[in-house]
Amino acid sequence: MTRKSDKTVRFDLPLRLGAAALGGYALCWSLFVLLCAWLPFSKATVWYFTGQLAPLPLLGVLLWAFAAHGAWRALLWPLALAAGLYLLVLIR
Amino acid sequence: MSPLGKALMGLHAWGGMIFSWLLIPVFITGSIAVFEPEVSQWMQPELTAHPTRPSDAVALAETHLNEHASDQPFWRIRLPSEREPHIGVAWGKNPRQLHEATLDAVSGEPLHERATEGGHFFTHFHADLLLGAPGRWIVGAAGIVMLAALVSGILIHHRFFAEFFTLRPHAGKRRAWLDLHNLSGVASLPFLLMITYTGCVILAETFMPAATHALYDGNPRANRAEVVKSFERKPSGVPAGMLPLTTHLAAAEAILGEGKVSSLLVRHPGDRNGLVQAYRHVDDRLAAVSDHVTFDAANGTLFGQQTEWNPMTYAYRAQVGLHTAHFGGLPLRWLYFLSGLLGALMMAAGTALLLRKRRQRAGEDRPQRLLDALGAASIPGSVLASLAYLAANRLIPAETGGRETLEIAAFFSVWAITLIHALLRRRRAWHEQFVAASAACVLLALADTYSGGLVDAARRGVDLTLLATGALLFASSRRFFRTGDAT
Amino acid sequence: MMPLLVTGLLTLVAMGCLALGMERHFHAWLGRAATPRQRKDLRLAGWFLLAGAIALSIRHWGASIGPVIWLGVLTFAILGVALILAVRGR
Repeated sequence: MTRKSDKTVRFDLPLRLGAAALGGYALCWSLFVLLCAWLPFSKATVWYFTGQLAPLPLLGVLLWAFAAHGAWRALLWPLALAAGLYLLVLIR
Repeated sequence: MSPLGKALMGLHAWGGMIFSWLLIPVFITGSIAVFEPEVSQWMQPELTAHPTRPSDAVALAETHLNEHASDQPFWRIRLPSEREPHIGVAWGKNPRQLHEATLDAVSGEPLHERATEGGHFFTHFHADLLLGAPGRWIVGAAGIVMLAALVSGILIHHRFFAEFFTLRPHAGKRRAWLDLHNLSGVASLPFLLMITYTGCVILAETFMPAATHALYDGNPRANRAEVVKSFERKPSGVPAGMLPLTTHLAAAEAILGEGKVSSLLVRHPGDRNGLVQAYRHVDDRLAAVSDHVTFDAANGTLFGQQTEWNPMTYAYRAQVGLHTAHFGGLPLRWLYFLSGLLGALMMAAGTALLLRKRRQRAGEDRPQRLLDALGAASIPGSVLASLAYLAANRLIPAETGGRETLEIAAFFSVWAITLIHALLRRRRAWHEQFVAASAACVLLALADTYSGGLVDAARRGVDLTLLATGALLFASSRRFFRTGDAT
Repeated sequence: MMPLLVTGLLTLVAMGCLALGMERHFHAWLGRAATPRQRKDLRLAGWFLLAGAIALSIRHWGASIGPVIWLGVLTFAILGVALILAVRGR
């Protein structure tokens, strides 16, 4: 690891964390809204089900935010996916 | 290393270290919070501990409430338990804000224990840093980063799993820290994954209310109302005698189980429409779900009961239960306590490793000094802050007004001082703070023992733990930090 | 206390067997190389003892709490084995 790539990685960190926060929050929110609209169970059952899943999309997007090739891609894909899921909700 | 590996390494090492400044105090206070009732007992030496039968305790509580709160619409009685061997009574007009008092379990006399947050301070700080909802966002975010650090750690070190019993304490500082980090991490991995995930699930109620918005128009009470049946009715205004609470207790135990009632709530005592509600404790089940049963206060007929819940509720509350660990008795509490500290050790070793690596590359520059100081404040610093909180409990006189706030102020002031100390003393700060923490542990334990600590099992437990911690901290200071070149 | 100690001991010995089933640790402990047969036997013994420990936990603490306590014990069994090996390796 050279000095330059060290600096890039370190500078990258806050950008990617920001992307993870925004993208992850959006994706988690729309995933929950989708599940609430689509799952054929009682409201209470769906509430207690979605609650147990909350960390998963946030974790996934955070890992993606670091696996992605750039901070912009890190933000774009989760937002696109969130938008897609929301469209599915509107269809219902 | 592949670019993906490097990126994950960056997240793991730097994301891990930066968030560890918060996560290590969260883990340390979390471990202490496992023993919240015992710490509270230590911090309120005026409290007595006597074994008693639930029915006797309820009778004493009822006598006290009749004397002091006969006109109040709400009474609550917390029955004595093994961990809290005294009676809690409360009364008032608003069930969410009742005036509380504690009674001796055998005589029923009020105990005038000193005002303090007690062990609950550690639980409170652990959950939201005393900041309320914003605090839950912050701790929740730290929890997600922790999960990512765990997963990235597993992905990076996957080859290590073939050799995970390896510990080479004499193989050179950097190897030793790496081995310690890997070993403590792998050994506590199931615990760490579980505790972090369940913690995030609990906090997500606050920071991810999407389901509440989609299903209940953003009103969390509506969700609770749908799941937890409430058995209430307005007071009639017509006075009527109430059956003795011991009778209601017996009826409740018939449904909930003998010895399983944790508290009683009386609505409108002395009114014809009065109700007595009994809650079941949760320390014999994984899911933190408290069954309850309600009786007509005047004639004892069953008014309502909830012993069966929505199936998904059990699953969700199992996550809450796994995190809060009311089940499993003493063995489980010690396993959680030690595993939590092991997790903190894993993060501390990781920090030491990264600081060392960076210093070898960049020298003792200003960022290095800041990173070092933040590490010291989060590791020995938060231990010292916790000890200061306990010390303040004994140093501030029992009658002083506002002493709860002063105790908490002691925690935060000492924490700030450790950061300043670390910035000024640089790398010597680690050794000095470890030694100071070790001395404080031993002094606190001895002071409590000599002021009557031997009579009470909870206090003995805390004192022994303090002594053991002091010894461990001292040994660590000599082994790792004496020559100042550990990190 | 007793069930915890017995579970702990069983798990410790089980993890010890699994550790010795690895070439590196067998050699460090006994000073000689292991035959594949010996290592396989050790690993088998280890898994068997582990199953016993889980069964004991479930029997004493129930099907939901038992596994939780066993996983907690496992943490310290792993640590114990690593520390014993480290001390022996000196």
